[in-house]
Amino acid sequence: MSEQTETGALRLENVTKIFGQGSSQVRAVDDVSLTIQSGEFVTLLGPSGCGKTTTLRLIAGFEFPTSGRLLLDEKDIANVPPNLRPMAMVFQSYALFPHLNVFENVAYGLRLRKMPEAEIKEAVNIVLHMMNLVGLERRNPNQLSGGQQQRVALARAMVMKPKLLLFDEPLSNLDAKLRTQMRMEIRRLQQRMGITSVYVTHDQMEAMSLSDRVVVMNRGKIEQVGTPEEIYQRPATMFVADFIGRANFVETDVLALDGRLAIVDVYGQKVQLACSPEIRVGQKAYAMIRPEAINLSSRTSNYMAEVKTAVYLGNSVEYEVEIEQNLLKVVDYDPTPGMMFREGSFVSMTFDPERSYLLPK
Amino acid sequence: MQSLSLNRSLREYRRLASDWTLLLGLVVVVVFLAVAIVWPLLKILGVGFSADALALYRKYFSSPVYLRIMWNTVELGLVVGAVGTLLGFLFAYVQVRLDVPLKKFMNLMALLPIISPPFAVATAAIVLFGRGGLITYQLFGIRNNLYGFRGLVLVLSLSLFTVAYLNLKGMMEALDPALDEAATNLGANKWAVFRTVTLPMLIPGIAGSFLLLFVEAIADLANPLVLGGDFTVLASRVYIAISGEYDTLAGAVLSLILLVPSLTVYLVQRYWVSRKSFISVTGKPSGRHQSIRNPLVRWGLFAVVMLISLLILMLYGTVVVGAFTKLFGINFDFTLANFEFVIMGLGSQAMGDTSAMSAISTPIAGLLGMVIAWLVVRKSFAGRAVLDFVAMLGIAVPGTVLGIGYLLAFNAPLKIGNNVLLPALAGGTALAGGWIAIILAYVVRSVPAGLRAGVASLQQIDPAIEEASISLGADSSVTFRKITLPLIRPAFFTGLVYSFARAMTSLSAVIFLATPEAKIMTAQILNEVDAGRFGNAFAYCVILIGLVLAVIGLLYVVVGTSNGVERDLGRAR
Amino acid sequence: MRGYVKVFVFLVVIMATVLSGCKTQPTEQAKPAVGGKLTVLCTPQEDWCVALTQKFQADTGIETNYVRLSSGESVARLRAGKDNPEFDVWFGGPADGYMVAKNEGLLEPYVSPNAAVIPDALKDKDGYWTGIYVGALGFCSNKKVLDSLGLPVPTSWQDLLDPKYKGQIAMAHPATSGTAFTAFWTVVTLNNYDIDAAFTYYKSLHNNILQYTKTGSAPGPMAGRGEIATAIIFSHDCVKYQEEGMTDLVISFPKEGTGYEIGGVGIVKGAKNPDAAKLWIDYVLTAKTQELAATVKSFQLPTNPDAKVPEKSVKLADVKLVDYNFTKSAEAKKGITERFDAEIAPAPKE
Repeated sequence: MSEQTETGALRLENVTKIFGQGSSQVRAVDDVSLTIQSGEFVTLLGPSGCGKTTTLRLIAGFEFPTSGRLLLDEKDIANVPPNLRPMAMVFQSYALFPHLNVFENVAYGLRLRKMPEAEIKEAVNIVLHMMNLVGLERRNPNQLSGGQQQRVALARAMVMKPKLLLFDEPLSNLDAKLRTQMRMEIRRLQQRMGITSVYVTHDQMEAMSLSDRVVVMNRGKIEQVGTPEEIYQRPATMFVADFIGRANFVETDVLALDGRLAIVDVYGQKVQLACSPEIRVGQKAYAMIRPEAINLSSRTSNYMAEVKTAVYLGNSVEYEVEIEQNLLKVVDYDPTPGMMFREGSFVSMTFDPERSYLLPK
Repeated sequence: MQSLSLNRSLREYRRLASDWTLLLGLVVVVVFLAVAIVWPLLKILGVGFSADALALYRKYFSSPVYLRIMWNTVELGLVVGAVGTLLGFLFAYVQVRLDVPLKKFMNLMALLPIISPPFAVATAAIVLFGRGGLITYQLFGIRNNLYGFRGLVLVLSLSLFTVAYLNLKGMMEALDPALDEAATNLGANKWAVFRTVTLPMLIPGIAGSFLLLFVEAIADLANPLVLGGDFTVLASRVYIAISGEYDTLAGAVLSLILLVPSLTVYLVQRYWVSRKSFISVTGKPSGRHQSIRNPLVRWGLFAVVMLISLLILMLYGTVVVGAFTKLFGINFDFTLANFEFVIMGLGSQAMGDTSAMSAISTPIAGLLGMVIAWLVVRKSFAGRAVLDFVAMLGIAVPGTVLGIGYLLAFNAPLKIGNNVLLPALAGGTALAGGWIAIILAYVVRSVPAGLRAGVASLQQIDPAIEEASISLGADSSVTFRKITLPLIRPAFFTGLVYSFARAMTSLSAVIFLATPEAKIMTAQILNEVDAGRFGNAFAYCVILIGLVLAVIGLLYVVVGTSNGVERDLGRAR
Repeated sequence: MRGYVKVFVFLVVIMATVLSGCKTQPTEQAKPAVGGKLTVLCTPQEDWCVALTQKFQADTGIETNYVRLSSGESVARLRAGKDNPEFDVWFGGPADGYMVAKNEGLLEPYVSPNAAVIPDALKDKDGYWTGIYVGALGFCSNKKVLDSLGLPVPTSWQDLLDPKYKGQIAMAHPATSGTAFTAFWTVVTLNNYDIDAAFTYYKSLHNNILQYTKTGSAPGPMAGRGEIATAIIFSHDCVKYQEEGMTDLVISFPKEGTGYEIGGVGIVKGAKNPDAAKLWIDYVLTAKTQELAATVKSFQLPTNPDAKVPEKSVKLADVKLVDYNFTKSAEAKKGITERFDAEIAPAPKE
């Protein structure tokens, strides 16, 4: 298998998918437009029912769009049946063929291409080697561990040298440790092969660690497209802010605006925050403050908050503190041993404006 | 909105069409269903609603005699439904919940009727329990009149309860034992658990079994013909109208009258009761059911079910013994004359014809069942539900009704102007000696079993497995052949076994279609039973059962699995 | 894994074997005489049908097939297949049915050279059917059952109306069976052709009937097994069952007079194999063929005077016969069977 495979660029133009008829209609994908560069790793991220899987299945051809265009390397593929699309998919359930052994599973697609037996053997062996599956060729899928099954599924897709690799929550059935490990492996392989990849997950950690760009979806629509940093630090909407990591929202007035910096009043103190382009002076807005951006200390200050709950998690401590009838989430990633604040105690609170962001109401 | 959805379904079809093998499959299925089910039924409707027919309805519905026949039919259905369901329940309960010996034997006895030809039980019952019966009269001196309602209920319940047994057994096995444990934990004793948890959970199964038995009982032709006495039912009236007078008008009218309750009840069963089910049969129950320890309940139920099992064994034993006996009940000398007569004489052609027609229809029915199941479960297109429904009509429509439909539809060539669109398929002068119509009828009657088994099996297979195949470049037909079919092999096997057994033992749908070139074993058995030559009839039954068992055995060797056959058979109805 | 492919191969092989097994056999010993095939519509007891068709095939080389149907069913089938008949020749069953078929144009006349010896009374004057056997209707009773009911052997039609017979008599359904129609028409004749009077009789008899069978002879074994006391069947069928081991059976005849059948044979109109059909008729009229009947325990009286009368047969001279008018009975047949089917057969018992 050559390291450099021919790979594709994908464009979705105003794609809409409606399920059901009449009053029971559901707009699963609502006017989605997206461009994916050749070789790029893009993740569709969102809660269940947000349309990410449907979008992936539209790309794969298992569903057909109600309207809109789907272009692979600028060719409209909206009506190409799934088996003729140069893509390979890795399924959440792995979807290994239970009646075929590992080798036959991987060789399946190549056999359909009527590739000579010797070439099939070679190609399969390379992929199996790459995926650390050597020695398991004759096993049946039910004799493999979850991680092994996942690697077979990956090998089966890779061996096809597709223009586009599609992943449908491939790691969600694995335990936490294995998940992390496989995540790295997928990223490594993708980087090495350079295959354009679309990856669906509801796990933000996965999305952040794997992707060149993340597409956050909600209710069939795209909320934001951006690099992992962008969507974490500069979320376009409250939904994104809340979905990617955790966030506190403090209602505030926009006092002044200087380019993409705004002066706002947070609990009586004027601070300068980076802001979304929709922010206008005189409007109400929300200051998004990440829990780790808040600092608690035992000193006395103007910002006194009451500790409502305190949970010790080993490498961190999580608090809920109350200030002006608002409950704020606080994470201390560097707790001083023996210096945990007790529930009911009053603490002084500061936050880092650099790690906060202003969103329109 | 209307045009939009129309537009959409048009596009769905265009997309189906782009996969030409899939389209071909769909076309084959639709053409088959249209020719083999829809067209004959339309023919009956056409005749049954003609001007002449209306006068007949008036006559039938104002005649106390005919009203009586209609009531008889319904009464028979109700009582057999109740008794058969009770039997099925008892057998299933003992099988699932009791720790008693000989459970395998009882299971076998409950399954025996599947491969039993019609008449076997009825005939054996006459010689054992009739007025001159070996047991009733010669042992106890009782002149027990078996002809009529009581005899029919006995014989039909014993022949049909398998459906209820498999249904309820499957459900009981799927019941989560945790529910029982929870109830016990909350202070309920065993009886209270049974009354408040087990029984309510099984009610959809019980209702469904009752309704299915009702449909089968009112459709049965063989037993009322042999054992009816003065208890006349619609099915046997239809038969007399055709065979005695060849009065297709009366036949069609009576058929329609019979069709109404069977189809109604069938629809209620399928679309209402089965939806009410609390139990997903697919789920694997955790834990183990605690068996009942109360010795009175345990051994009482055991005794009842064992007794019935022995009764069934005795009835089939009589068939076997009777086949080797000169005159069962009168002269017990061993003889091979019955077999000689059947095999060397009148039976040879029927055996050959019936086996060949069944063998031809079996793979067709098996495959069609799987293809339809696959289309219905996996493919999305408008009319999917209709496809499923029409295919299931093969079993919902009583055999006699289907038979008359075939007579009306296929006895003469279908012509448009002077061009023969379809040559005659049924009757002695038909294409291929009438084989085609009989094979079609066999297939139609067998498809539903395979279809239901296939649907149940497919619903348990992750659709992603097939999508994976497609995503790797396989089209629909390759995916079906290389992935789907191997995965649903147990269901496919069930479909094949059931198709063959069903074809070999079916009577009502094909009795009007037998020709000199296409002789049907069951029709020959009817002749022997009717003429009172029970020895020959028994020999026939033994041969038929032997043939069915042999083919099942061979299928087992070739397809190589019987996993879940029972379960699938249970779902098959 | 490729199991299902094997299934098809396997089934196809089975199919082929079965097909070749049953289709190739008969053609082997073909003799040139007439050749071709013959499909017989056969109404007597099945074993006679088997014996006769096998013998005919062996002697002539004509591939001979048969379907056994009762008399009424036979006419119905002939009627249904009128435009495109599936049968070549109809063999056996009372002449009433043949008269009906003749009147409806379902038969082809043929006067066999071998028919010359058959008495005129036993064949159609126009040659549409020729008699092959004669037999009288009788009561076939189980002595043991009669004894247990405290009944003497019945010797008149009126005897059968005794309420003690309730559910103890069986006969066939006149719509399907020629035997049963013969019984009905006998009562009509005894009532001076008053059909209503005959219906009155059968309505009363209905209360004592256990079951109307499809085939005429079927009530015989029911009596033989002790399920009923008396069967109304042809006496030669009763002899047959006695001979087959049902030793409790006794034959008796109504003193008012009883009916009889002339079993016919005739060519179906539009027969596909008319030559073979003619050959069949020639064949079954010979003394030698008629003597074959007794070998399968069919004890009808042969119509060919040269044929040996089986010892066991019921001689017509010993029985009082009614003057059975086959022409009249044929004309009335359809009306009677339909009325019987509508008014009597399905009616509840009193």
